[in-house]
Amino acid sequence: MLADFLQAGLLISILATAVRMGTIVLLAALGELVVERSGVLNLSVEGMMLSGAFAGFMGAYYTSSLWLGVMCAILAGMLVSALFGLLAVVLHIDQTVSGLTVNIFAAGLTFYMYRSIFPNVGATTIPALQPFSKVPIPFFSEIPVIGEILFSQYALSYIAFFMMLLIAFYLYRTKSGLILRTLGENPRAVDMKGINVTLYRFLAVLFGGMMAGLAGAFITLASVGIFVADITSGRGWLAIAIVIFGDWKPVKILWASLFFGFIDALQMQLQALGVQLPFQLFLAMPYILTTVAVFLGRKRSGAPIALGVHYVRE
Amino acid sequence: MSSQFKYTIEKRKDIGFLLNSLSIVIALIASIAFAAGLIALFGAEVDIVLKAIARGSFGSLHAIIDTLIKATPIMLTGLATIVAFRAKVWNIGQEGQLYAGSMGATFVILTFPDLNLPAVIHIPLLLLASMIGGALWGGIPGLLKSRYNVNEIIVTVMLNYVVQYLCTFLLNGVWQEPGSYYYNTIRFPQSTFLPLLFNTRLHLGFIIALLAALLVYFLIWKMKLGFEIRARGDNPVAASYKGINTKRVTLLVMLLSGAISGLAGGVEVLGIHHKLIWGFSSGFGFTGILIALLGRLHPVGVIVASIFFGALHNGASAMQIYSDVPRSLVNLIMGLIIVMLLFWEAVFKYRLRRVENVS
Amino acid sequence: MHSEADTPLLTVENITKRFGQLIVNDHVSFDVQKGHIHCLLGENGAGKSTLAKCIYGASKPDSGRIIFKGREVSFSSPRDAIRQGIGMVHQHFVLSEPMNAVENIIVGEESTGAILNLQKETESIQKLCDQYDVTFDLSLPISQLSVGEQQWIEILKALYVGVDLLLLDEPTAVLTPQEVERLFSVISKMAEEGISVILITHKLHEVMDISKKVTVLRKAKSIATVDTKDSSRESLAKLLVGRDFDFRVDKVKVGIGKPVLEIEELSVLRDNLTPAVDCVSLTLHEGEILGLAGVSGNGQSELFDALLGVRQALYGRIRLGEEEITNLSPAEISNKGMASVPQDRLKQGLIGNFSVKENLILGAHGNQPYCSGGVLNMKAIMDFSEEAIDHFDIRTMGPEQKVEQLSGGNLQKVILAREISHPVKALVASSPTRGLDINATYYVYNRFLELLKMKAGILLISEDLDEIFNIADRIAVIYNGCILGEYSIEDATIEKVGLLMAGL
Repeated sequence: MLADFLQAGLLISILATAVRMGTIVLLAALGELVVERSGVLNLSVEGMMLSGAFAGFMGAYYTSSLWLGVMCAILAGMLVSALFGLLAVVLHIDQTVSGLTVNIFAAGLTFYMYRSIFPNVGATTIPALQPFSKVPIPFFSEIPVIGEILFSQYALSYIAFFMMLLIAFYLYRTKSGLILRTLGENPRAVDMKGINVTLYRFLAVLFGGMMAGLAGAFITLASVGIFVADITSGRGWLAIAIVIFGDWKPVKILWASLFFGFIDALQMQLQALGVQLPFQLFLAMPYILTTVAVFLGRKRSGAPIALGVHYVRE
Repeated sequence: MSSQFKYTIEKRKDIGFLLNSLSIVIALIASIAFAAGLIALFGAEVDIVLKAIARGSFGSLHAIIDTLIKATPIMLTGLATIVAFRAKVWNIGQEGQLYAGSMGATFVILTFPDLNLPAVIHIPLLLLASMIGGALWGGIPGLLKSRYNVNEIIVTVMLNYVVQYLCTFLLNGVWQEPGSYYYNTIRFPQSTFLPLLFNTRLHLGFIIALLAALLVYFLIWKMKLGFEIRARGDNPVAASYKGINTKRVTLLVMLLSGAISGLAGGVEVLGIHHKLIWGFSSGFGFTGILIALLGRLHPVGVIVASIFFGALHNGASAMQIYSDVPRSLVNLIMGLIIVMLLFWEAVFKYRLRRVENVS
Repeated sequence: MHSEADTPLLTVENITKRFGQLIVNDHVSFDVQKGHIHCLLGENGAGKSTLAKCIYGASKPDSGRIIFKGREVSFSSPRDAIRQGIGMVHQHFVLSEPMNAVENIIVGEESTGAILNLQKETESIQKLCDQYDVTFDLSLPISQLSVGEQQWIEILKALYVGVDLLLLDEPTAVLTPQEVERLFSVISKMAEEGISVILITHKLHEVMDISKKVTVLRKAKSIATVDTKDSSRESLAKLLVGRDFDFRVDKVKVGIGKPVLEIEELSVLRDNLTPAVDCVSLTLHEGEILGLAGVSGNGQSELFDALLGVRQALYGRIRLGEEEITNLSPAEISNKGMASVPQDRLKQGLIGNFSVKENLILGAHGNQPYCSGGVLNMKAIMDFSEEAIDHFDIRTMGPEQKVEQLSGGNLQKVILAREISHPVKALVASSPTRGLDINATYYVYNRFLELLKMKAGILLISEDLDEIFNIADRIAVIYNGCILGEYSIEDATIEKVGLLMAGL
């Protein structure tokens, strides 16, 4: 069995899947990174991803255009995050309570709308569509090993990598990024410069919603092509955990996301390999590891000082 | 000619009972309006829906009993949430702790099948086992938080998933009813059944839930531990300086909260299903969080909200039969009400003030 | 002949500002000339901060006008004011800890491009530092800089943009006497360059040392604006308080008895595991006030925490009376007779959302008679709070009122009522009169004196040297976690103490 596993082909396939799964959660984590760097803790990532997954599916299903579906997903994510932003950033309601509430609300709304539109969903008659196919990058995808893992991925994975670079550049090399980071450490400093703290944070929250929606679209529109309840199965929470584990730094978050993608991919293959452990253990593995991740991340020092604290001008 | 007066927005010092109630009423009305709009948008007739809900929730004795039965587990998980949230320990693991509780009771029944105890002893023993099961599952995040300051939200959510996989593992293996293809145990012996009240389907669990509400009230407001729970929730720094061991409070709160959710699991399994069956909880844990927030983290609020939810839930089943509106509308409405409550409460925190514009 | 030198840079004319029913500034008027150092003198609560807010744009006055550089101005925000040439350095710095000086100074500035050029910015800021003879490492994160250096960065923020008028709010509260000198030399240089400085302070000797003119505020009104050279501490004090003011507290010499709190070679670490308290030994006796002087950040808060059991002592012993209390829990230490008045009332001392009565028993809530068998005795709690409210003159709507609604002075009364209603061996007080007006301040001092009569000892941790010289019997100086010197109050002088505070 171990021999099978070590066979290069299988390993490559696992790694390729790892990149796919990892970039899904990377998108959401990057969004949450920006939000948290501005000082806001948004716990509704799971709900935003679910809304994006649903809206993405619906948009693509009815317009027969996958990219229009993606647009719908981004919009849905932003709408949900706007609700969170209204409660937590504008009205200064406790960020934890706001996030949990919006999470529950978004999940309820999504499921209700799905059931209303498709009342007769069963095991055989589930609405489906043709998902994205992989987009191999010419020449690079020919490279042995690396070619299949890194350069024969879905478009959304390339977007995720690009966003990581973009966000890293934004945070550390631009004027706006400096303002954002300062918002997370000492919002009063930003307020004193005459910049609207509420507006800036709200925009950051919207960006987070956009990214979470995009991540949701990735789930339904790349590779599965259907929508079911709880299709996100905890990935939104994982994204939050990854931000902590990655010490609020883009590069570390990238590695953490890929690692979890690897676990996800591994879990799928191990079942197929007939490894003699209860399959429930494999299914539970990502959740157990997420717990381990936050445990290991407990002493991370990169947390924005003003994270989760309302800013009130005195 | 410049105006005599101008308006400013300032924060109120204190909301006061009247405005508080007003915000709740507005929130409810706004939610119903939004839901009605949504129903109409998807093509159903609003008044048919409302009639169906009313009939299904309180239209007959049968309906009322059903409402109270539905209210029981979520009242308990709501109380469990109160205990934790009052300390600002964000336990989102009620669902998992509920399962752990049901598994605790199941464990005792299946592992000691020849226990010939009279129901008077057997049942409290099983309920205790369910509380221990829930407490254990709540204790893990509690320990991680109090000792290592690990984020309890993520851990409790993760453990929800983990315990359900553990449950399916057991129900597919050692605990599975011999010869069954489904995920369930054998039927439990008669001595484990919770007694029924007034010759109806309503089981003792409802009374247990009410008792639990009373106990939670007493704990939070009349006991030293409750004082410390509230202190930790409101200002953990000052609480520490004044001698409160906030770590100990964190752990205790998770144990208690887990125990109460575990009790909910035990009550459901011993009162309704009489076997451990996969998926017996249709989100009781999460609904409990909703109930607690709706009830403003107060036991009386939780009692009212859980009965309200039970009614809605029953009504929704009827609604699904008589119209095309899916039952999941109920969860949506609950979530919506809370959003509205939060929103309006926050809005009412500010007021418009007329100030003299002296120039 | 009107020369430019005669026209004031800033004219404040009849500024009035209200908060609800309370008038905070009542027709305040004064002028500031170009290149002058002008002091705004007033007690806590006289309206200085609010007035400053109106000048630098954080607040709009209800009526009155401000004339700056010859034109009437109405600033919509601090940003607006800075653009027009008025800047402000606050008492509590507004800095982002993990980032360095350059990032803190340029954040949000329009002059920086959308893409940052950190090299260029660093160079221009370095030039400013050279211009004013200040040297330090611009690349270090703020958390690693001294308080004086952090303050310089706040000043740099204004200089970087280019201001004509700079307001400084109680800038010397956090500095050693030597750092104060350095600050004053910087300010003087600024004045020479033509930048006017408004120094907000309540310290008379500062006014005398550095200002050209001073405006005295009392009870929301501007009482007078005088040339400093024509004034004295006494004349200013008279204007400040409205009557002849006696500077010394009338202390009846209470006999100093046996040791009541002994700290022996105590070492305590900070959260980031660097040493905060380094081998400190102090002895506090019955009936005495031991003042611990030092600039904040030299280990005082960690010492406070260790004495109360909130922070672990790495090494050393603490004895309260006869008993050793090192590393006992806060509850045990409090029960053995240690009382405390923390620096941050609403953060460390009180639970804002709790009622007055709940705060009055906080800490004692597990003891008889307030609690037995884990159950609270509501009647006993209510009886005690009614008595305490009466005895300590706490202005509140009732025992059920949420404590966060109370004023600063009353918050302190609640804390004192709670702490000294039970037998006390030693009281540790950290900046107990910060932010209090003069009446509340002397209320606190009198309560302290009562406590001394009951054979307790008081460890007074304070950055305010005036306060320590006012009421302490002995003074110790802490610097970098070590006690550098101890004197009886008769032997101590500001100069000696100042040197020790700076580590010399």
